[in-house]
Amino acid sequence: MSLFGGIVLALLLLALFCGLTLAYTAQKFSQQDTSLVDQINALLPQTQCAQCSYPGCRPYAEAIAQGEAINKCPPGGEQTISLLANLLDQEKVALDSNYGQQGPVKKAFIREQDCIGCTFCIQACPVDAIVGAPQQMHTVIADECTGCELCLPPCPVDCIDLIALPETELSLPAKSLTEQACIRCGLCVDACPVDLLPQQLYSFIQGKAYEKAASHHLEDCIECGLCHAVCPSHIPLVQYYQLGKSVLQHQDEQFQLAHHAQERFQQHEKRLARLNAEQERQRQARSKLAANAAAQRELIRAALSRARGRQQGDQQ
Amino acid sequence: MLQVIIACLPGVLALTVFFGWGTLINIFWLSLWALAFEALVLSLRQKQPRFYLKDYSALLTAVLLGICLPPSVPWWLGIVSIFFAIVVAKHLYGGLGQNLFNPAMVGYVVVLIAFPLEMSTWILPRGAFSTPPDFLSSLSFVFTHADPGIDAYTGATIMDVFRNERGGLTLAEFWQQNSKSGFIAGLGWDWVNLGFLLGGIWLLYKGIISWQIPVSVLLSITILSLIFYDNGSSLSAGSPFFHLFSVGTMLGAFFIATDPVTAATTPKGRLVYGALIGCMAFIIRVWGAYPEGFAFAVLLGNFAAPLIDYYTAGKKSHER
Repeated sequence: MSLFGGIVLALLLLALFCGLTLAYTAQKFSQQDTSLVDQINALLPQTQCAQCSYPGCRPYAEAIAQGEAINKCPPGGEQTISLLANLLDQEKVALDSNYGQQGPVKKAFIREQDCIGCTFCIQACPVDAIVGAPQQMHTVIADECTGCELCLPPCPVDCIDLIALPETELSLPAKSLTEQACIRCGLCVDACPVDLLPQQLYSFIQGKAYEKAASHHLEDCIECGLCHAVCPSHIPLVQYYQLGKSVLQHQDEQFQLAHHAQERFQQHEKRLARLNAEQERQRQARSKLAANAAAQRELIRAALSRARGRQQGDQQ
Repeated sequence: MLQVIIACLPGVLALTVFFGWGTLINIFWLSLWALAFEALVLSLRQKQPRFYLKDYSALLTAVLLGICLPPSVPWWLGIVSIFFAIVVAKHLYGGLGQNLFNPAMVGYVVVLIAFPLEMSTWILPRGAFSTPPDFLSSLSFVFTHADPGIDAYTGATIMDVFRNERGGLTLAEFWQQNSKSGFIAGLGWDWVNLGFLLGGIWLLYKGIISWQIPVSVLLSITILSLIFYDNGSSLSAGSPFFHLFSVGTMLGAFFIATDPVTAATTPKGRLVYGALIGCMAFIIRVWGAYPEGFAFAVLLGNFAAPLIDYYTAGKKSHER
């Protein structure tokens, strides 16, 4: 075989290989076709607090898709801004303080002895988290409350308090005296029984890149401690993985809560729409009834006037 | 890392026997500067130089770089090279363990691209019409460039000669005409490679390096050279023996590519990484214009290592 033939054969094989790889990756990594508004909405905290001046998270998501600024969401804070900046390929900006400050997660709580049962707060709640009836005491379902503060202004007797939840402190393990910097010797990779990359996971968690750690299968870690045992720098690796896992779990819970709140907000919107439609239907029925009554009255009046005319004719 | 330095000894011995004192002078000169640069940067970074110098990593970089540089390079070229290796490639990236690229190879490639003339002339091996220069004239050449007779000792490496002659001569004719043929590959180079092979096998035996990277580097070079051997015609890219035992193959496979910091770390990933380096090294040395392809191949492999690791780590990696 001449060299030319060899090169042609090699190029053909290469082209075939590239084609197959492209076809395979196109199949495997095809992005699900979700609209931009949905993607933005998924990153918002779904408190439906309207602090951004839009009536809920989804309207704000729609506005962002139209070019609105991404720094108007105080409950989401820095994290939401950086996620949005990533998604939209924009610069990260600081939270716009005109729309509020980022604080700890809060829950509304009704002082029940002071409640007069006016139902104003029930109507204000975007996720239907307050139960009660007219002239009856109201109360907040704590699990459903998003801490949006929308129930505070309508309350005529100021009986609603916002209570901050105690925050769980997650911090990196303290450095021991024998601990040295990671030199990426790779001994931990050989030791890991589930074929993970302990040195990579460690550097991701140290840099707070928890999503990266998750994409490198942090959840597969069985916390056996072999990596710590072989580490020549005596780094307490397992403690880092535990921290990473709890942060990821916390983020996952937040995501679930946000999703739940979003669903409840959608139900709330649907219910309002249904009520409005029902009221509209009744109003139209009433006006139709009234129109019918008016027409009948007109008929009667006409009949009466005809009868009256006939009576007058008879008398003459 | 001290053991890796010790494992270099047989190869360094062979280099010294066939190519004179230049390699040893390089190693000592570069070690001196490596330690100096390392201490300087460590104190600038407010670390304790005394503690970190004891890990021998700077020394190992200097030894590997000293082996790679031609035995006839002037003194300033060595300083430039080790500066880029220690200061730029290692400490500017965050020090030991944080470097993305193999420091020795970065130092080598910088001077290879910047000073191609100095980097492509080697001392002629002992027995090819010449004996290598003695210790004093090597010293005077390295430090003063004063020895006018140095041209008599230097020339291109066997790989360069081979590449230039390709297309004209069949393999048999090439080796017949060329006075630099040794018993396996180029004269002298076969012994040098056997020396590094011996050191590499000792490292494997001691469990300091894992078998995947050297085996897959050597295997991929063997397979590619078999494909392009072309039955020894004038277009042949050389026999597998020639490729396995000439210039830097064994050094690259056992000592350079196995650097744990910059290589892929999963067992499967190491196989892929080694194969990538072997293929690139072969392609660059046969069809490229540089005296050796290993440095570029290793740097390209360093680029790919995180990606390879990502796709080969985890028990479920086969599901992805």
